[in-house]
Amino acid sequence: VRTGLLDWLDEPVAARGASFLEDDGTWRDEPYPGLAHGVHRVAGRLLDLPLGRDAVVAIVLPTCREFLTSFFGVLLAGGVPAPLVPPTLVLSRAGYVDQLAELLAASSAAAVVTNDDARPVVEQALARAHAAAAVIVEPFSSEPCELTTTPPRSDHALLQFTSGSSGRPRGVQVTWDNLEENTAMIRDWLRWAPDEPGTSWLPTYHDMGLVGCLMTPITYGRPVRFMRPEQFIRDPASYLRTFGTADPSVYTAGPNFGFAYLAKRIDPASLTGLDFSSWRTAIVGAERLDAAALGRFTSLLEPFGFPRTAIMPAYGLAEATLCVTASPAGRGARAVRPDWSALRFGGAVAIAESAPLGDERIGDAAGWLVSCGEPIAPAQVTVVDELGVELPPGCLGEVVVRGPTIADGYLDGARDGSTSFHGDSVATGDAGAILGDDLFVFGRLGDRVKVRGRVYHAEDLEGKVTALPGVPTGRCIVIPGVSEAESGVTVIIEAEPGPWMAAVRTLLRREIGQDAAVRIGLGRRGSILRTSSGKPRRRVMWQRLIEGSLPDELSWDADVARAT
Amino acid sequence: MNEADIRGRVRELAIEMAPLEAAVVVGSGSTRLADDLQYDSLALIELAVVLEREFQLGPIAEEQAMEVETVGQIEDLVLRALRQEQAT
Repeated sequence: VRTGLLDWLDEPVAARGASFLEDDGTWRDEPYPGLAHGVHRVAGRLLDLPLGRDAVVAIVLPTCREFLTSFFGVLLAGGVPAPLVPPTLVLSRAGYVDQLAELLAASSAAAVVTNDDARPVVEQALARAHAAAAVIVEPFSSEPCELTTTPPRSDHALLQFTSGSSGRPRGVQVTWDNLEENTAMIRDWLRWAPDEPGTSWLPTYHDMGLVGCLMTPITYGRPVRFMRPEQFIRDPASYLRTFGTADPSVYTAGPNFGFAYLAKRIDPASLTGLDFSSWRTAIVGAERLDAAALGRFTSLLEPFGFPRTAIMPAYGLAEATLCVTASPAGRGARAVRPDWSALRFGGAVAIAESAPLGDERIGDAAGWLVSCGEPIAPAQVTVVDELGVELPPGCLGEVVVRGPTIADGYLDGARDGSTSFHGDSVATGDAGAILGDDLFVFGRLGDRVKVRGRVYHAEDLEGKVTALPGVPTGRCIVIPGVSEAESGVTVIIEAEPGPWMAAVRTLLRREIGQDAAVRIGLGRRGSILRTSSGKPRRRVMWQRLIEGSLPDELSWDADVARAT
Repeated sequence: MNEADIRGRVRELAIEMAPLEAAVVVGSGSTRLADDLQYDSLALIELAVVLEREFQLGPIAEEQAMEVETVGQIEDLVLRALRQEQAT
């Protein structure tokens, strides 16, 4: 049974609420009735502007009570919330003003809800964007507040920004129906009971933190604990304690990086006295699943009762609201070692070995892929060839998702080179195969690569390589994508060897870092396949790369940047 | 520790903690955290925590960290914080 996103406002449960970690290390509980009043208060402020129906309202706030009340307050007022990165999660103020200005301009926000700390930088960004939006600061209060009117509902319930294949932000238009369906799918899949708490440290301007960890528990009135990403980094033990002490949290979600970080930072001795045996689910997604990192996390916590079946790999994307596939609750994650040398786009994947995650055969995980679990009904997943024709199960192709959670396209009908909407389906630009019941994602179809949560775009890297002195203009292609060991890039340059190669190597190491494999191939003119207009045929080159059918005359630079 | 020692140790940690492989970087005061060392906001907070422990400093405010773009500026930040601790 689905629940409306605002239904919780009608009869907020006083016995439960959201807790927020304070900087002194204590948790501040905010029961649902007070939060509901806060939502009405923000909606009232917006309606006083006045706010037109369907107007976009940007939210520039860290994870806090005001974020929660603003998000649902915008919805209650008939607007469309667009959560944007807050200034606490950026590296430099100068770069942030530009970034925020670009997002505010792209969203055409009529108003921005923020706090006193961020207000000056929001105003700078609005000035830079030549945008006239009302700036609203509404500190949280649980004092009773009720709207006397019921504003008409907006068409879209979320404008979710993601970075596309060119790295420029695109807004995904997510409907009420999309969100109500996806939050119901997540709750049912997890079998999330009303009194079971969850904990999240994820940023709330991304789909996983927002839809999975905030909207799902709030819509269904579950108890939930929030900490900000920077609090998690500073004090990861506070996060773990919520799963191992009285009234333990039993749900969480995060990228590999978070679980790897816990395994690295937490001293096992500090876990004495904690009991993780109630921990039911740790959803892992958002980047390529790393069997070794998940193994280290499991080994750290298992002596303290953590059930290894709690690790629940999942797959999703903002274009499909959030969640598409996940391991069944309590089953545990599966891994396979494909025969990489026989891998061919469109062909059947040969499996050399398979094992449950945590099995000692997986070892340091080289060559192993972790399953993303099964499609969650009613979402459907198919795998298609380069012409869009569905492939039989077991074949490697492009992952296509279909169902009621497919969003209503990009803002302003924008297009993206890699991910594309086709009616009620989305071609994801991810390469994958359905092996058994499970989806396995092999990597991106050649346009970008994600290393340590950071996305590198082929075109950007190409531009930087080409800008180096000595590299012939227009004779270089960067192909990010699948490799056996790790995420990585392959660069093909139509040129004779020269002293400039050292500069290419240095640049790529600087850009990608030690986590990615880097290969340089030199060939004659014509080694790079092009369209009739001269554009490199990246996806075809990518397919040939994984099939091992690139031209024989390429000479490979064996200098692989990955530290082994 | 004199100023040069402190700068040297901060630089060492900033490079050691960098998301980018340290061995390929010859760090200097003008080494940029984001462009040269691949720092993102979470990695920078991780570095701040390590510096606070190493030099027994109070929490480095996020607003201060946001103004930092180079290794030299991190060194300045730590030196300023140490002087403030001594003064109080």
